[in-house]
Amino acid sequence: MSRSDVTASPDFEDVRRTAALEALARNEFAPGFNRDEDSAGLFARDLPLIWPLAAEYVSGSVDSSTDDSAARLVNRIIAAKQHNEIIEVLPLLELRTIASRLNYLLECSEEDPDEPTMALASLRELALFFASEPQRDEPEIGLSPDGHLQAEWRVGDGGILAMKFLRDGLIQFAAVSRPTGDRQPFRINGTLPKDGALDTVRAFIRRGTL
Amino acid sequence: MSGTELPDADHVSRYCKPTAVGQDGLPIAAAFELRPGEDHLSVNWLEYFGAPDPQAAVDYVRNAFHTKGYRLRRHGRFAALNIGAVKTAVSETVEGPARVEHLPEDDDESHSGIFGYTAGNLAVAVEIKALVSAENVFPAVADQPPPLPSAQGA
Repeated sequence: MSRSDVTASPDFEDVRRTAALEALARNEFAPGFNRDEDSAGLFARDLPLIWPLAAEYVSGSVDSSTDDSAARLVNRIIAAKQHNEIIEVLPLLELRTIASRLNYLLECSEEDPDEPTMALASLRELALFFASEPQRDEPEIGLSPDGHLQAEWRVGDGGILAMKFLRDGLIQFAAVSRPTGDRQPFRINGTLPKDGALDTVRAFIRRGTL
Repeated sequence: MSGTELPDADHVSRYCKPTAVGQDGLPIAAAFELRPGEDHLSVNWLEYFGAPDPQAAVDYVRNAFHTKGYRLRRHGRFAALNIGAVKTAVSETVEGPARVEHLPEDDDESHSGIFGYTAGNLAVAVEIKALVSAENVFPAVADQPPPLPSAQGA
């Protein structure tokens, strides 16, 4: 049985992310910012710039000099105070199916007392992940009992990969493949920033498509 | 809390809330995670009812949920799991033995628990999820109300 169990220091990540957040927030409130410009056409034109920006933010290396209008879209996700403010940005990133699913989960979370309360910070991390990884197949998305959003993919023949988006920006991940022939199931699990999590699951993903 | 350990050959069902059911109608791993503070995953022992098949046993479980006032949701699901397979899945990931115990309650006599892991253990939840297939998943709300069976001990 192969297994990887890795962790990272959340303190260091917090510092990096706070610095990135502050840099982006300065753009959000810069003179000339006008919410009336937040049209679908504007954002569609900027998509090629938005995805790398989101990727940079998630990896903690945002360059605040990136095109201002592209920064606004990611800023809206980062600065959102309510769940709806994040979800309504996703169709502009061509993530309509994910936005629809998140709306459903939010409705369940708010209307059914038996359901967990959706964590705003977890929603933000999931939105930034898919903004930065638009080429990924759309996953099944659900809520864990502690309110974190969780994405899950079928990998190959019977394999499963799950990623949970934690409030502190880390991703908890676990995957298991189905045994084939005389090969034992392949397992990985751990908690890392996005880039580290993707690096770690890459060996698993190569066994199927993600 | 301590109960009688259930046989590996038997089965339990887990009610999966709509937020833990994917758009394909199957539970995701979140359905098998513990809530913070829980020491076991609540399930129902299906052989308890002496029903001819899992689908019929789940009818009894639905009635037990109604009796104790728990509202089942249309987009929820029941996942039926083999106890031996669940124990193997848990022990693949955590140290120490896994066990499934019968924990009867006044208004839910088949209530049971899966022990051996803790809240936040995504790896175990994924292992259990890997046991789920469309053949052992049942709607939480039956299209037609089942006849009202009276629960009977096995």
